[in-house]
Amino acid sequence: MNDDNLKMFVEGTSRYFETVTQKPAIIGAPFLIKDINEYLSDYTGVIGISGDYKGAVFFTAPQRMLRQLLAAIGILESDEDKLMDLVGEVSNTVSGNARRTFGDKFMLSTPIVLKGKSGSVKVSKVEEVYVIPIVWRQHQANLIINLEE
Amino acid sequence: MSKTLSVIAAILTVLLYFLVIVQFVLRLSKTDVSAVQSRQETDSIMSTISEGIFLLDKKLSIGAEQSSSLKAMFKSEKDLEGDFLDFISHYVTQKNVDLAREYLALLFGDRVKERLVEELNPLKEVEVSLVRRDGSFESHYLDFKFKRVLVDEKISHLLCSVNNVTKQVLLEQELNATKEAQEAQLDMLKSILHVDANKLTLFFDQVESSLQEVNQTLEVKRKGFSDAEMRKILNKIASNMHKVKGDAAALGLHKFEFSAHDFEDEIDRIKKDNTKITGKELLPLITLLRMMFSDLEDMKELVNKFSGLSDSFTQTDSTITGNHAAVVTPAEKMSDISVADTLRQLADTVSQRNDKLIKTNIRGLHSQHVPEKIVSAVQSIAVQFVRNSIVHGIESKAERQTLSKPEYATIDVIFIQTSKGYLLTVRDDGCGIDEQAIINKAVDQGIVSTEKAATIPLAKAPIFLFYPGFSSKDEASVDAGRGFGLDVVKKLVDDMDGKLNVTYEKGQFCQFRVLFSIG
Amino acid sequence: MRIMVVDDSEIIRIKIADVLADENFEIVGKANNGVDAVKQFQLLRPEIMTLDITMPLMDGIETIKKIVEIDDKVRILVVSALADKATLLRAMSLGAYGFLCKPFTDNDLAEAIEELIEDLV
Repeated sequence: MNDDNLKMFVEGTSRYFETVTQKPAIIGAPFLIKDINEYLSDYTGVIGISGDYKGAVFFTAPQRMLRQLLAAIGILESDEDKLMDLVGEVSNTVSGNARRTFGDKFMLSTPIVLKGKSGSVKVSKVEEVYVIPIVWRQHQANLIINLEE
Repeated sequence: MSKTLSVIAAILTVLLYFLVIVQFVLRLSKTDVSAVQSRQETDSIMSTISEGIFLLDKKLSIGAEQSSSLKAMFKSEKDLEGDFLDFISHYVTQKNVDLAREYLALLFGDRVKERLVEELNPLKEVEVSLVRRDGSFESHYLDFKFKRVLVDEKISHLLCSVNNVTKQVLLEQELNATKEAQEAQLDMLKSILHVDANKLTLFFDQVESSLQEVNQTLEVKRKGFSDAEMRKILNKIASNMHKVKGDAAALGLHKFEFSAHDFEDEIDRIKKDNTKITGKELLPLITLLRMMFSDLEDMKELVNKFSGLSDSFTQTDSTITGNHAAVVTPAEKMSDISVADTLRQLADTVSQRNDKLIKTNIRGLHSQHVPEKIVSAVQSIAVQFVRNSIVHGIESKAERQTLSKPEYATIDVIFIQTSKGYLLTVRDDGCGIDEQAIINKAVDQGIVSTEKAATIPLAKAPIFLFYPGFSSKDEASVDAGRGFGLDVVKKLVDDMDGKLNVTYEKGQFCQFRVLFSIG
Repeated sequence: MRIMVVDDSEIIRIKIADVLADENFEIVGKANNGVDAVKQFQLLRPEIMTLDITMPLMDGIETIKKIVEIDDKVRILVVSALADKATLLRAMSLGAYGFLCKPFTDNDLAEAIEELIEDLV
């Protein structure tokens, strides 16, 4: 897994917060995990990836962050539909940026949204899935990257 | 009479006319039949062949005549239509679409020979991503072949045939991967054959726990992710990695040694290149960490497969190195004997790398009843002292000659059990300790201010050697210089409630002692 | 047939010239960069040219563009270490007639030149 590719997803995510809310997100110390399910939060946007690299990228956030994010965007209702929409939107934007930079190396699917811990995402036997904490206004979301060549 | 004749003539004419028409109609229907027949034949062919076939005109539009299997290759319900490049852009990368545009343009142009450009076909065995019903991607490999169709010696169309070559391509990839994996395994095997299984298992446990510690340090929730916090994290994990490096070097497991070294290099670079460190700057570290976890897994698997083999190899090994070879049975604690061999091997490697002549004198590391925990700590500590000795303490060949010192420097590693506990002594006949240089370096590194430094008695200078981040060499080499060696020692000693002591004489010797109380 | 050899490596220039001389071609000029190649081409007008892609001052792709402007009938054989489809397709689209990848054997070169001029003469 290339450092540049990791960096690109991370930058894409932080760019979203900065652009949309004028308050940047802080990137926390990254670490490795085996079980993605354990780290899924209230809502998760999943982007499937194929090409030079195969796997998926997850943007998973607690509903409190999503509610505040919605408010920052100017949307006052925060029913579940809107929260799911938002998490999908963030994932979509991140993937769109990725396609622009790396369009010729991979293909990205349109994001699907998961609610809670679905319990069905793959578990690996070695620590090989990357987690990068994304902190915004005291809330923490996680960018989970599971890619292999 | 003439009337009858005329009538007959008329009838004949009509008959003839009739005949002609009938013949004409007959011929027509024959043509019709053969046209229908040939239409049927074409349809038969088109619906049966497994290849996808279609024509492309100069505008690159997909022709209506297609083989039935074509749409199935793209998981489509209806026939393909429209602009070919537009169509294909939904299935392959943009780069390939652009290359295809150029390639097809060349094919329609009449300058270039078809055969010559065939090699440059970007859609030859190209990866195609098809979307499954659940939204995920499925990878297939399709082979597109294009041939010029000539009408009156001019290129009018391109005939395209598409084949699904997924199975073949995947098989080839698997074969290549297996070959590479086998080669990598063989390399790994070569490097561990000389190490006995017990020692290896112990090493694996140590490395696993060090790597886990690194990962934990990164994950654990703390008070925010400020620059100061990040630097703290970096120092801690650098320390962990240095231990891994030492332990790996001791066993001659260069792969881990170099990975750990690269990790330390990366940490240095991150600290140096950035005024504000965020999680983003740490990304290269987890890629390295992941690789090390995976290498560890691979090695463990390999050892499991060959554990029987390596045991017998190690027996031979101890016999050859001599020292405690007299009576060696599998029942004896192999690990104790190996500590001495380990240190000798390390001394060999490091002295060669640093072009120094060393003679080691290792005693007492064969005792039977020392707790495993102590043995392990003693080995890690002795490794650090010996390395530092060779790199910093022992003078170069030329210098020793100038000083009229023996050509071969001596490093004594002595382990004894006293009433007070287990005592490890590591002593070298090198240059001792230059107190002022250490104090100066401490000031340089920001460990102590210039004012405070002036008040420190020279005798207390050695204390700085045990500070994390302290280094007395200008350039870090694989063996030493980054300074994360003696702080590891201090940590181990502290963890086990031990005592640490250093004595020296400038230009003559340097001696470190570590005492572990019993129980 | 009159041929010009363009490559920034002297060894390659010598090698190509040797093989071609054996095949009875007349080497009318050699150049080690694109700018020089174009200049010499103007004067010498060879029928065939071997051309490297990675050269100083002006690379092979630019050179093809300029040469084709002067005379689009010349048969250019791209001889390069850059074997990626994108570069070669580019070269062919701009006017090259064929390509040969480095490293190549004497035979490879001879065959490539033969194919290049098959339909001439």
